[in-house]
Amino acid sequence: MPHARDEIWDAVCKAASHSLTDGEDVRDLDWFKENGFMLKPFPQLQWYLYPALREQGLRFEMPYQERIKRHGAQLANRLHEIGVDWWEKQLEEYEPLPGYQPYPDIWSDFVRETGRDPEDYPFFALTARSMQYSWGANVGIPLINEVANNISGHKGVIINRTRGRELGLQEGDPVEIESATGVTRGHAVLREGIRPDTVLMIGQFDHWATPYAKDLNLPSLNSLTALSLSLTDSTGSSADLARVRIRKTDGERRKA
Amino acid sequence: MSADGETQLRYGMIVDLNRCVGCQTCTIACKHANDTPPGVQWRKVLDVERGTFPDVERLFMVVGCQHCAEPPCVPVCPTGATKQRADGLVTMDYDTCIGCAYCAVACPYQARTIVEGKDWYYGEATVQEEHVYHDERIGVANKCTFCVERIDEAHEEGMTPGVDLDYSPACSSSCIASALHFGDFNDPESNVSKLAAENSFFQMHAELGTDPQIKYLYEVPGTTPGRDPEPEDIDDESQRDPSDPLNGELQKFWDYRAAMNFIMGGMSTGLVIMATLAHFVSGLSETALLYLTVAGGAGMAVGLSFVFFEIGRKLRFWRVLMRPQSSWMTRETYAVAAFYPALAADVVWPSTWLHLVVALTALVFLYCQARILYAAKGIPAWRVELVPTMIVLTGLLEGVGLLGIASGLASWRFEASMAFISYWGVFLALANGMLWQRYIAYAKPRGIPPLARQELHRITPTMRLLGHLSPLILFALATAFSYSMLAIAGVFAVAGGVVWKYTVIVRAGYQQGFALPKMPQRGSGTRAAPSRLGGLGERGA
Repeated sequence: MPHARDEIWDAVCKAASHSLTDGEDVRDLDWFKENGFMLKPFPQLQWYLYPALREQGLRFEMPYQERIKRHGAQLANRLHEIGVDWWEKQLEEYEPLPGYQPYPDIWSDFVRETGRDPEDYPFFALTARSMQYSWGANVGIPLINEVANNISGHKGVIINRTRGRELGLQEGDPVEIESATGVTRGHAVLREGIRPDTVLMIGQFDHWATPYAKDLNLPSLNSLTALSLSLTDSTGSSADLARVRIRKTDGERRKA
Repeated sequence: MSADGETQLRYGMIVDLNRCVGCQTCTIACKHANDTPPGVQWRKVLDVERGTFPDVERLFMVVGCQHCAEPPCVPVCPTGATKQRADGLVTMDYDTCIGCAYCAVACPYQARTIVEGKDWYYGEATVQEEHVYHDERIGVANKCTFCVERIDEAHEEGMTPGVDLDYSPACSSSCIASALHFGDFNDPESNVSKLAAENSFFQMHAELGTDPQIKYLYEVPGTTPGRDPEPEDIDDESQRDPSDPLNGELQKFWDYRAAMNFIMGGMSTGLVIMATLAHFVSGLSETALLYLTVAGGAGMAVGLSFVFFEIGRKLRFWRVLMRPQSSWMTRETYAVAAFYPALAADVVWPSTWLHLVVALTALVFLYCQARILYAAKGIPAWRVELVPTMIVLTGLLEGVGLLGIASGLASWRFEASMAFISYWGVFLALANGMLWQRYIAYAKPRGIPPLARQELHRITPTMRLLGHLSPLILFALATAFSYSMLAIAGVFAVAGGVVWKYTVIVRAGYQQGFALPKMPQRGSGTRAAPSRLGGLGERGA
């Protein structure tokens, strides 16, 4: 069972007070609710910039929060001056303290944008770095491929075992993974350590020319993600995510 | 003795299951240091997952040759190519090995490989690959040597393996997480000795008596004790999972050619033994006996020729004679070396003594075959204590069966042939039937994995009907009916032997898997490590 919210905060309180007092005065959530905070003596000289700020009479600034808000406002002004009005959603992200957003909806809404039903794409597809392939440049080295294959997931798409079986999949079955904007093919890797609503493709193996790598026939999230403003954040980037569906295809089963 | 001649060394490794992150750096380091060809990994890290979502645990397990204190691969080697040094290292002499793969099937840690031909990473040889290729390793057994050259160099230069990284195995020197430690277990001050003394550890398959010198740590000192495996971690479903790297695969070292040696060897020696017995107790003529023993000798030769075609280095086959003190394969060869001259002499100068020598050497050959299979500790279906008896009694049943077939032809009948064959046939069919029943019943408790058991269960109805019941009934009824029935019973008896030996050797020869008798606590849900602070969730108190 996952821990309840208060259990997590209780642990945070205990860990923080443990750390602050070298374990001598461990306080729980109830204590913090009552007292608000815990203090311990700390020499002023060690305060970050404090002595210099005092000496020069400088205003105390919250370095990140104030600047991000100011930069957002300045950027909005400049964009509006030249008539750019398609960055409004991204400008909203210049917040001193970002609030929670229903993030999964971003990708569900994108599926709707394409005129499809998110229910038809029941999985979230993720990607992950491969320790063996490092940044990906050595994916064309057969020796690395050989040892990388000792780690599960390097031969296909990782799917929750129970969910995979519900879809009629067995280990190594050929599958097609389809998003609202793309499709990729690979083989099923059934594991327990993944959520039933999530699939994982290690690395980005969209290699069409890299010697050796192009023949590995591995699925890639690159083929599934879309270049869309709806999925682009204020940094101009996007999370490597896509809502997808999976189906078994014809072809040979890959050895585990 | 060590370089200074004062203390006995015992090199080994500590593997910390909690520290290994599965990066495979040790695997790559080993491949570079030892120039192993594509697909060959003397050091390997398995990606192990246990549990069911959301209670899941993942860990990485370093495997390879365990340099056992009691290595099962050493005594079986017929040539002496596999040796155990005084410092505990189990080494390979590639120039002596004949590639019979006996060591490979005797190893319960899947540590050995045999590369039959040249293979290149890019299809054709690169300059680098050509430069570091080892022709001497083709067709012979390969395995981890704990980088023996580095260890020897350390002693020459006054360095300490395990402390000086350039003089330690490449895998432990390269480990990014301090999960691998190499050193001398006989030195109480060594890093490995201290780690073993201060932590709980297990030795894999210690129950097999191998005393492996890789010791696995499984707890985080002071915070997280280890745990026993859950029942579902080791149940049949788990052991059937093809994606579980702990499960052993079907061995490919001994294929139908090896099976043919056991099949032909059993039949032939059984025929020689039973014909000789029939000659002495039931009046089988000397001429008939000689014909039958020559036929037996020919059958043995066929079986042995199959083995000859299986070994990797055929021109070195004579080296099989080098380890009579421990290897049943060597002893089998000595039995052959005694059998054929005795047979030739018996044909030229027939005598009671020579008949006995021929039968006795055949019996020794049959017994050696039985022990060969039993000593293959890496294959659970073979190392069952019933197997030697099964091989011997099946050989004798096949021998009676062949006598029955021969007696179907009138010219081979002897005075008391009907009764002799019938009584022995009934007895041996019954004994073999009971042995098979017991073998099947004890298969699971004896550790035969489910995929192997599936193969055994698949042939069990055939064995009962064809191999045991049919010959039993037909042998029993033959005295009242005809020689033809005796011959048919013989065919069934022989067929039964062929079926089970082929199945057990070729189809049920799954390798011993890896094991985690103790596990770290890590992961999510009920698999998670207990709380360090207490009072958190159901596991915390």
